[in-house]
Amino acid sequence: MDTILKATDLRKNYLKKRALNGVNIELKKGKILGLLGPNGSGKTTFIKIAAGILRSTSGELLIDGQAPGVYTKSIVSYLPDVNYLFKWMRIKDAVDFFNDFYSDFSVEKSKSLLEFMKLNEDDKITSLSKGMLEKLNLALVLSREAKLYIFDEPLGGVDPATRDIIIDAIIKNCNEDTSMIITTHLVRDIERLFDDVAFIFDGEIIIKGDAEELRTKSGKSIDELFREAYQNV
Amino acid sequence: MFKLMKYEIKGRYKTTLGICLGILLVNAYVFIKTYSLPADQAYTAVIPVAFILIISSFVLSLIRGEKMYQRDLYGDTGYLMFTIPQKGVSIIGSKVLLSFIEFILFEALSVLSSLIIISRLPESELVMNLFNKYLALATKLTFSFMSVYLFALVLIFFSHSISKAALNKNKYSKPASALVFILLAYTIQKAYDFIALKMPYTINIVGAPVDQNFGNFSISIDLNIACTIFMVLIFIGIFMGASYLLEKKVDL
Repeated sequence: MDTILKATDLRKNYLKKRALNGVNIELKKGKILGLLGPNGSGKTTFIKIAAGILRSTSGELLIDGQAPGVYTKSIVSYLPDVNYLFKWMRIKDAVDFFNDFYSDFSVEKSKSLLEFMKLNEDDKITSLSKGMLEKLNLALVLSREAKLYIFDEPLGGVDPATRDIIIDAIIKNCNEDTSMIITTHLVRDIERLFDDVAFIFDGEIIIKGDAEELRTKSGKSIDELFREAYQNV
Repeated sequence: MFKLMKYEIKGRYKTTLGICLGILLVNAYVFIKTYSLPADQAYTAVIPVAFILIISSFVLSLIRGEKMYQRDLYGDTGYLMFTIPQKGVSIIGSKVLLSFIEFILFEALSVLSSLIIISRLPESELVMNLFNKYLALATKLTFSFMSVYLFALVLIFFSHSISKAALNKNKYSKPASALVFILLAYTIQKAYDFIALKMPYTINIVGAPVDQNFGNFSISIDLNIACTIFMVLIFIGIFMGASYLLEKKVDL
């Protein structure tokens, strides 16, 4: 099977609001998908369903052929857009936690990533800035040999220098087997990573396809296409 | 499950030790204040304080257990706890077990430190003899206390899970869980009373004879068979229900 994630007619309704309205996405193994859209477009809802912490109202989402659950959590490395680590932790506790619960976690890799991110293992989580926390969270999820990486707004709220470090870390840890979904509204900084892109608005996919094909066909960058798409909707 | 407990203990051990120290300090203070008093005055201070400590330990450990679950259910740490490849049973089980251990620790410390004070007071033999005389009752109360704690905690977890699954981030989610808890507790109590009335068959559990120095008697507990089976089934049901809801229905 060469599909790592497949969403078919995926819908999610909150009481009065429709967050996802029939989303169809397929991600092949070894591809990086940029899920792009403005705030409130449904990106995080989709990601949370894939991470197994939100249930869809209808439709189907399969990861490695299975519905989100204990198995998919063991093969998905998920970076949420919140600080999810316990406040009492030091960085080394967070590393131990990941090492204890994920069999694909590499302590060696985490050490080299922490060094790359210039983070000290003895630092307390509460003493880290927003940018440092983002780097730490990214180091932890990239230290896994996961089948699928899901990053929710990895560049959100960090300065340009930190953005570059985060993008470099992602590039360094990508290989031909890496499958990834990255959501963002800061397209220009990260578009070079994408193999495929899907533009989402109001819970619906409005444009999707191979990133290079879209560039060639339109003669524009993904960032320009993104701005154009959301200007008209 | 035990790995989860390890991280909960790491995050909580300071407050746990603080509470233990608090219990000891309260009893030390009581001891200093009552040591030189006549027996009747000393006991009127020591016994109510011991009683208050026992009840406070119960309430405090129940609140701490609830907060531990609420933190992950309503806070950002849920993104960490509920994305690890663990079943709902393990997550709920680790929290219940750890809370129960803390409860036992606080209660044991409260009771033992109070008994030590009593044993140092004048005419303590009278009180100790009275305690020994009612050891069977005390054992029964301890057993009931532990059962009520476990049952209440799991019912709290179930109530939070069901209201979170139904209302998610709605502002009424937390108040709704309190309402669910009250309704369920009331219904279960009514069903228990009904079963006890209709099927009043009991079994007598006799423990090992108590030491000769304690008066040479056995500990015996009467259990209503139907009620016991009913409560065990309900306990398993709400525990598994809370675990299922957490794993399959709760949205973050």
